Amino acid sequence: MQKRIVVTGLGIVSPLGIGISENWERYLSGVSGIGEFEIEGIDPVTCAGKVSDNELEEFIPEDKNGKIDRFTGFALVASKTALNDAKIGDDFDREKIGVFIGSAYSGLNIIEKQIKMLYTEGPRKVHPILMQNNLTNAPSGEVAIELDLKGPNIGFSCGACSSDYGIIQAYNILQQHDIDAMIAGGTEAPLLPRVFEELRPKGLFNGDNASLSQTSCPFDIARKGFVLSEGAGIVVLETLSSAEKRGVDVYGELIGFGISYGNNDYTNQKNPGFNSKVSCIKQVLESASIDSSKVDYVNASGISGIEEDMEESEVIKSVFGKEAGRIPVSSIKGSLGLSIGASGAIDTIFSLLSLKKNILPQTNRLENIAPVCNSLFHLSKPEEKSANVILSNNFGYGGNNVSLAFKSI
Amino acid sequence: MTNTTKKDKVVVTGMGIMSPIGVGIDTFWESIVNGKSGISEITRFNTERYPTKIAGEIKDFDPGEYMPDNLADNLCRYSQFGLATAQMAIQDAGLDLGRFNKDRVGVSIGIGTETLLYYDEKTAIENNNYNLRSKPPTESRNITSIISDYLGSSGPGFVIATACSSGNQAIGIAKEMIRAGQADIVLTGGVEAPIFPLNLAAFCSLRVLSKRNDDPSKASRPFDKDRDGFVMGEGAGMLVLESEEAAYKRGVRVYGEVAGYGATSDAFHMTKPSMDKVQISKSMLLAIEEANLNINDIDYINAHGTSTRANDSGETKAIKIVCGKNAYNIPVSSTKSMTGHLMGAAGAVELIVCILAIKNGIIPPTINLENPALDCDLDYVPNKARKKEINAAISNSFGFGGNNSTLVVKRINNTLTN
Repeated sequence: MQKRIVVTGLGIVSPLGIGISENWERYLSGVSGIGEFEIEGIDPVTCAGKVSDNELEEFIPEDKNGKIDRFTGFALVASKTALNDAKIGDDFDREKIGVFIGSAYSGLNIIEKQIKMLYTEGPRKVHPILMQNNLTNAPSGEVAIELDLKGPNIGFSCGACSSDYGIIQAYNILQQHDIDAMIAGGTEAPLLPRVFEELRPKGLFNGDNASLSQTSCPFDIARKGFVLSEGAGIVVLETLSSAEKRGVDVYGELIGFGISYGNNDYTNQKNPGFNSKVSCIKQVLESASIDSSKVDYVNASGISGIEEDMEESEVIKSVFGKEAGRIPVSSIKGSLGLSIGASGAIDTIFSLLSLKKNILPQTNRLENIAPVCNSLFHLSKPEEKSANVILSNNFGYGGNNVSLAFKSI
Repeated sequence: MTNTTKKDKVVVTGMGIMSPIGVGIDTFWESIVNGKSGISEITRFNTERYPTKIAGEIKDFDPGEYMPDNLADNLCRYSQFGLATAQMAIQDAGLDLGRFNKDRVGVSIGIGTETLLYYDEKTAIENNNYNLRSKPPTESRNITSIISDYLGSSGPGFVIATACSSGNQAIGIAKEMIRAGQADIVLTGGVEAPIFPLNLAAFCSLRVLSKRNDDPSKASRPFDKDRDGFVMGEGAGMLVLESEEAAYKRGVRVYGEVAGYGATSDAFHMTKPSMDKVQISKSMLLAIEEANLNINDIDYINAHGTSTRANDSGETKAIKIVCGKNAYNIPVSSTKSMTGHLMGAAGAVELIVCILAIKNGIIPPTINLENPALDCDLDYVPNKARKKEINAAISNSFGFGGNNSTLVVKRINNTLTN
């Protein structure tokens, strides 16, 4: 028999701040985490979403300060917050909690530094900490050590869907193993010259002469590409029976997911990107056994991409038909940018908060809806609504698509 | 959540392999049975300033046999391995993917850390510090995307990164997806091409590599009293997993069942294994339990057996905790003695070893085991392969980050139905 899996804790580190209420309230009031920064090695000023170093320092455990890579630091802080939020204390069997955390770029910060070291000072100067700090599973490993979690422990990597796979496979583990709770999500610290270089041809915002308010502006006529940001999103997935036994609050139930990949096999299919996204949303509805008319809100991928936002609008219209104009849709990337391997989990957290707090978030920085995105019901301000079923889409620029369905409980 | 029918048994129907002791299943197995070492001096860059100068290099791989030159030029070496072994496995399974719903074909690949491998290879070539190729790779997408593009598949695809246990965990997770009805077929395994300047420097700095530079073929010597660290190697192991029902419907050969997967975490230290061995033992026990077997049913253990002091003693202790007195009756061997440590690929290559051991009724040896260490007193099948009927085998893998993973593979009778 299928177990019911719910979310009992949330943790977030983002350019908007550290902590759930900080992020939620700042977001709803329209604050943006996107700013102009001088990043060493990039010319001259770059738009990005950066996590405040001062704030981060307050949260990193003292004995870890300076000893772990930035992406692991984010994950550690977000996981601790999430575990506290779920009220998981010392009486919880630590062997029944696992950790699945995704990241696309992993420890690129330390890799860059050590490559420099190798080619200036030679191999014997390469630091022993490189290996343990660069690993994709460094966050999951460090979180397990810090919080004493002895269940399955895996790092996932799948571009912008890295955190989604962490969540989905955590769901599978809860279903099929004797595990009660999973720390799941993603983390990313990609604000490095190489990443900006690599992502420009993949649709990264290339902002000359644009005002800050027009950098990340999902579905807006002025959108010019996605804006890179950093952060971590962590959820505590738990079996409903464990949550009930503990008598804790539940944010929502994970009732279904869709997964697809828009492969580049153009010879066999037309428009694989579009079709794979349609398939992804159809799968999520089917696996959740819900009719499209029952969806109360879609937290869109909406990365502020010229092609991507248009395509997502068409995909939603194609799946929901007439209903598309009725279902409120918004993207949080206007304030948060695209944090690659963390973005799916951060979207998920905002989706769960909207279920819990009965408020649907608006799309920040959306001033003039692009005609090609106009078939959707865009939220321009927060809307009070008690939603029952919501979808959280995450469509990566690399062709990976995930959509998660949550239900209030 | 509704899933399509729950598929109980997950079986292996195809395999592909690439290793320092052979490209392709037949060559590989012949080397295993003959106890051949694949370790030699590193030839691809100058190792003068490195304390370790040896590794398990694959010398007979021509990417052009498996992919167009322009694609090979774009890909990292590990992606070339992945794509080549994926083709071997698909062919071995007799799969015509055109006849499948491509949304239901998944890819789950284990690998150390793609970011490190990609930039290590790229910067080595840019700095003229690598002589195997002259153009730096340009494709930085996940290897799963590259394989999915090649197969034309559009189902779930993701990389599992748990350091040295990645291949093992990737297969375990793939099994769960098929069981949950989320995919009909999953191409799964592990790949790694770590013999590059930064990776070697990193492992040297950790002082975990063997320095037996003057006698490479004797360097990887798991459980021996003179072992002095592991030897890194490159390779890939790829498997086609599907439900037993689907395999029977297709009427194809079934190699065996992936019957149990156990995974735990030490929650102790990022690079040092926990001394008490409780979590390693538990990962083995969980896998055996899931396979519905008893300790006495296990005919062979393919050990993680890295040839480091800490691992081999610790793993021996864990096997004794799990098997009790019976530990002395179960053959345990480490094929890393021949292949070297294939890192992210190790778990997959070693599961393939278990399957071939079942198929051929032969237990692979632990070579270079001349004087077992005092605290290594099990039957490690020293130096010579042994004939024995095997019905169930275990493959252990442990990784940095303190993660432990075990797979159990079982013989399936009536392997052909049509």
